This record gives sequence, structure tokens and C-alpha cells, in this order.
Amino acid sequence: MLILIALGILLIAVLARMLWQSEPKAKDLQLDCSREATARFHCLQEHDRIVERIFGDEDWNFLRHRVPSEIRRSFLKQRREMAFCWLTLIRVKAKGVMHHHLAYARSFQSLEPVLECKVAINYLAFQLSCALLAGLLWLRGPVALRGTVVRAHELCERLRALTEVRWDQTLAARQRS
Amino acid sequence: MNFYALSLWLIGPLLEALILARGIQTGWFPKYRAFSAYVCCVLIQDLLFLGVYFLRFNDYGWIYWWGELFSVAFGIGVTWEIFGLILGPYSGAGRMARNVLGVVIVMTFSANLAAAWSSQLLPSGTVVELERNLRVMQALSLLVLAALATYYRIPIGRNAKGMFGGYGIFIGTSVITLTLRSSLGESFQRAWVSAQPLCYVLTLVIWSAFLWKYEPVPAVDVRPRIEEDYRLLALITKKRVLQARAILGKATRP
Repeated sequence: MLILIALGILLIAVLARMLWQSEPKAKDLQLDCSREATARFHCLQEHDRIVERIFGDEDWNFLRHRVPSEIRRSFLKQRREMAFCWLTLIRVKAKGVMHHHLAYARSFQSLEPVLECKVAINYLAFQLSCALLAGLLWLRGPVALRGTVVRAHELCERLRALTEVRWDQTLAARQRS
Repeated sequence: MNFYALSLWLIGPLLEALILARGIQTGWFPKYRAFSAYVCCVLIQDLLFLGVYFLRFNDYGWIYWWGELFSVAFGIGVTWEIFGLILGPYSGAGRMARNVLGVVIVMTFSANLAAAWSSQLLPSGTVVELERNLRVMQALSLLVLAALATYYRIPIGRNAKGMFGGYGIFIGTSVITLTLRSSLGESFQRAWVSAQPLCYVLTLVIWSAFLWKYEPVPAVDVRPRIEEDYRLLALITKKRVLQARAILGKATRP
């Protein structure tokens, strides 16, 4: 009973939102073949440099013991803003790629549901990664981010090793009994 | 019957007549045939119900429920028309919708068959549950359409939006009220007698507003493409999104 009521409420909510939204403008409906829409993530070397500059600890290590605490705080704050700006740029580019795909794919007769699902899941995984990275940036900032991830990875490895040891012991005990 | 119930009952045919009159005046009446047929059918039905209620009250119960099933059948035509209006120019998305709907219909029928086999349907509630199940299938169909239209950013147009929104809201409220009616039985009857007509009048108001003028679905450039390009497009999209993820990964790893 609850499932059917939830279905009814969901349908009403979705359609009420659709009725409330305004109609898209004519220029938004045309397929956008501009450079932004077909954005490639080429020039990976350029991205590597930017990522290293933002998330690397070289600049921080240089400033850490040389400047007053106010300048250190200002540096971390600006570096965090740069990281969020960079993340937004990547998100906008990926969104442009998906928008381009959907705008073309919807008119193909040979549209394959399985392939579309894979593309959708891939994009969803990307959005979740962005959200996770944004959360970590907010909590730890770009400079401390890598250290946090390395420590989390080490912890997972230790837990895995511990679980393997316990499992081996359990198997050995069963075989003896 | 109290004044509130009678008012709602009389407003219904008036709004239906207004919608049909505007359809003839503005020219959408012959273009949206299934929808126009549905509104005509419901108008005739409402006038018939009014007559039966006041002249042959003892027969009203069974005439009402069979009339409802008849309008459900016509409503399937409206659902079909909405699908055609929105997904018509987009053959690929339409094919996806048909595949998903096929699965949904098979699953719903199987569930109903299983319930009937295990005799979960009570004789007194059979018609209520039958209408509820048919409305649930329509609700699922409309949800699939809403999901596809949102995901592929398909332009809908004001008239189609009004038909879709109004009819969908009516189906949603029907699913809720029929579910409660079949579960709670006679104790829900009073609330149901007030709620159901109110929801339908809301639907008619939405249709009046969105169908006041003829505004067809906007034409978008859907030039025929080489079908082999689709796989290439999908692979390129996947590759680019994976590249974006790889760049994110570089941020967390030295």
C-alpha cells in the first residue's frame, strides 16, 4: 500500500515541477556544436601541471616556516578557492560533453539502452567523485588532501591485512576441528 | 448531497465544455484526437452520471464503476497521444521507452496474476482494485516518459506539457485515493467522495490554462544521421568522462 502511495506522490511531484518550469528558449534547443559543447580533455599535460600546482605541497612547504600565520592562512584560503574553481571547470566541461551526447543520441534510431545505461552510470560515478572531492576539499583543503587520502589508503590496507589474518586463522581452526 | 459536492460535480462538465470549445476555436481539437475524444467521453459520462444520480439513484453505484473503467480505457489513448507528441520526433528515445514499458507491463501483469491466483482480491473490492491496478500501470508509464524527457532534455511544448501534467497529476491522485479506498474500505468513503472530484477539477483547471491556445511541440533539428555514428558517439562520450575522472584522481594521488 505504501509503495503505491509513494508512486502516486512521486508522479505528482515530478509533474508539478515540470509544469512549474518555464519552457526552454529556442537557442537552447538547437544542438550546440561549439567548442565548449565538444570539449575534450586533451592537453592532459596542462591539467597535470595545474593539478600539481594546486594540490602539491611544494609551495606550502616553501611558505610554511618563512611567513607569518596570517599569510599562511591567506595562502590556504586562496588555494582552496582555486581548487574549487578548477573542480567547477572540470564539471562544466564534463556536463557539456554529456549534454552534447544526449542532444545527438536522442534522435538515433539505433539507440542502445545498455550502452546508454553504461554512459549514464559512468557520468554518475564522475559526479559522485566530484562531490566526494568537493567534500574533502572543504574539510581538509587542497594541500592536506593528498596526505589524508594516503593515510586513508594505508588504513584500508591495514584493515585488509588484519581481515586476511583473521580469515586464515578461522580456516585453520576449522580444518583442525 | 451537500452544496460542496454538488458544486464540484457541476464545475466538471462546465470546464470540460470550455476546454472543448477552446479546442474547436483555436484549432487543436482535430490535432489532439485521443485527448479530444477523452474529454468528450468524460463530458458525456458526467452528464449521464448526474442524470442517473437524481433519477435512478439505486443504479448509480454499478453504473459509476463501469463508467470509470470505460474512461480508463479512453485514458490509455490519452497516454498514447502524450507519448506520441513528446517522443514522436525522437525515434531512439521512443524505442527505449517502449522497451522499458514492455518490461513494466509484463511485471505488473505478473504481479496481478500472482495476486489473483492466491485469491488476494476480495469480491466486493474487485472493481476498485482493478481500476487501481490499471491506474498504477498508467502512472508507471508516465513516470518512464517523464524520466526520459528529463534525461534527454526533450522539448515538450505548452499544450503537451499541460496534457501530460494535468493527466499525470490526475493519475497520481487516483492511485493514492484508490489505494486508500481499497485498503481502508468504507471508512475512507467519505474522504474519497470529497477528494476525488477536487483532484479532477484541478486537472481540468490545468488543462484549461495550458490548452487555452494552440501551441504545438517546438520543432528541433533532427536531421537523419548515419546510424553507425551512434556507437562512436557513445564511446567518445564514455572516454571523455573517464578522462575527467582520471584528472580528478590525479588531484588525490601524488
